[in-house]
Order: sequence, then C-alpha cells, then structure tokens
Amino acid sequence: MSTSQTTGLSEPVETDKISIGTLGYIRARHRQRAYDLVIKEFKKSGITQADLARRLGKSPEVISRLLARPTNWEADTFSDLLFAISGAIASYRAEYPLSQRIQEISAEQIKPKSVQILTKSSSTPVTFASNAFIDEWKKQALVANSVPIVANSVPIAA
Amino acid sequence: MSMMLDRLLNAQLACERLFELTSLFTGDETARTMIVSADIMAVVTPPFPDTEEGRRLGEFRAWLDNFIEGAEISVAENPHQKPPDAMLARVDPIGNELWSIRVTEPELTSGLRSFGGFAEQDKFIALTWEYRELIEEFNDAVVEVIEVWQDLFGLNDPFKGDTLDEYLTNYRPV
Repeated sequence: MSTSQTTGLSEPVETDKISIGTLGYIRARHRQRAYDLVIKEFKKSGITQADLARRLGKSPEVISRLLARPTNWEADTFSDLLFAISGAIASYRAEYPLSQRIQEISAEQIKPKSVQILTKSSSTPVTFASNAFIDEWKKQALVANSVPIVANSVPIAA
Repeated sequence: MSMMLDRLLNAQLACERLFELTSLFTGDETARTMIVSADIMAVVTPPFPDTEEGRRLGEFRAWLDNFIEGAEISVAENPHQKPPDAMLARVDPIGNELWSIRVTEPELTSGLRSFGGFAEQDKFIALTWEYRELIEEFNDAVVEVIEVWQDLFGLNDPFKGDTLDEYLTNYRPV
C-alpha cells in the first residue's frame, strides 16, 4: 500500500515520543469540542447561568468562568456541566482522522482480477480479465442497449 | 467583499504570498475560511516542535482549525473592555477594521496574538503574529499589521459590517 502524509501530523509510532506541539494541537481540539457540546446543550436547554449555578451548588461567578471559553476542564467538571444542563452524558467514539487521510488505496487493490459477463450469444456467464471486460462491455453495448452483468452467476445489472 | 479586494486576494493567493488554510483533520470541508500569510503558514504547519514553543504553536493552529470548522467564537467588540476570555477582539482604532486572534492557552503562558481583518462574513485574513509577552507596545503590533495589509491590498480596507452578525456566524459577544 502506498502512503502519503497529507496533514503533516503523524499517528503515534511504536515507542517514538510524541512532540508536545502535536499534543498541544490535539488537546486544544478536544477542549473546543467539549466546550461546543456543553454550550450547544446550554443554549438548547433555555436555562440561565444562575439556574445552572444553583443546580450544581456553585456560585454564578464560577459558572460564568467555566462557560466563558474552552479551557482545560477536568473530566468531572465536563460531566457535571453536561448532566446539570440537560441530563445529558457525553457519547464517546474513537476516530482515526490521520489514518483515514494518509491511506491511499492502490488501483490493484480495488480492481478485480476478473469479472463474469452474460453475453447475448451465450446463456452461461463468460469470465473475462477485468481489462478485457471493459472492452467486451463496450463491444456488447454497441450491439444491444443493455447488457446483463452477473457476479458469481447472479445477475446484478441489466 | 469588494471586487477589488477579492481580485487582490486571489492574486496574492496565486503568487503564494497568502495561503488558504485547510483544517488538519477535516481538509477542504470547511464552515469558515481562514487565509494566512506566509509567516503564519510557516509556524502553523506541522510537525510542531517538541518544545513549549511548539506547544504554543500547536495551540495556535488548533485555534485556526477550530475557526475553519465553525466552532463557537467569543468576540469582544470593545478593544478597551475586552474580557480575558475573548477569543477574537477588535483592535483600536476600530475604524481600521482590524482584529486580534487571542490564543490564551496553554495555561501559565501569556499565549500569543495574531492580527488581521475580515474579507467577508466568516472569511478572515490573518497577517501577523507574535507571542504576547513579546508585544511591548500593542500599537506597534497594530501599525505592523496595517502596513502588511496595505502592502498586500493597497488602500482597500478590510470588510466592514454594521453588526457582528455580518462578520461571523456561531459567535458569542462578550
């Protein structure tokens, strides 16, 4: 498989130390995502910061500071805010954006070695090498408006 | 955006004095547009150094990517009464239509500031940057960005809106 790194960020590799710069970038993204989720719930809920302060038994000043901008909330603070606002809990899912972006699938991996085609002149499928299939398709298409195609002897298109 | 500013912006992009930033994670799928100078492009392009300085630059890039991806931005319109939590603030004098990107993380650092102006709604042009503790005179930083802007766009001022709604979507005034 050929790979090309398009983002400049790399996934962790073996025991290589991750640069603090990369961690800084990832941390900041996470802070913003957590903040956006809490603020979205807060706006949707219609409650006030004073209401939220009462629910959490904290002063309005503390709530105001917490909701002011993305900051390094403790996991418990994030959980408390989300639940107190709307009874919500965070839903977690691991994603691998760097993997998805750096992998390029070669043509050889997606091109079938051969395909079967049901021709006008034969009632049983004929196997063609994939390149030859394209040529046969074009040839048959000139003869008829449609050509049925089968995969593993099952018609899949007509 | 005025036609002249649009034309000049495209010309500067074509000759690579300016660059359109794409999010490191979402690529071309953007909610907003961030244009940066070569100076900024050089420091926000990974890999980020394994140093505290690298960490601060990683934070800077995350700010820019969060902007591009449409994250909520807290905005201060009064340059003299901006709360410390403002993520974007107008720069004095407000008639110049210049803004300061305020990267205040990591904690225990004074962060950094980047200066620029809007080309249109949700389209920002960031031209200069500096670590906050190295900005001795804020006015000097403003003069610098004015000079860079004029070098790139002549006398075509940044976009001017009547309300914050005309500058940004998904923002919160502070």
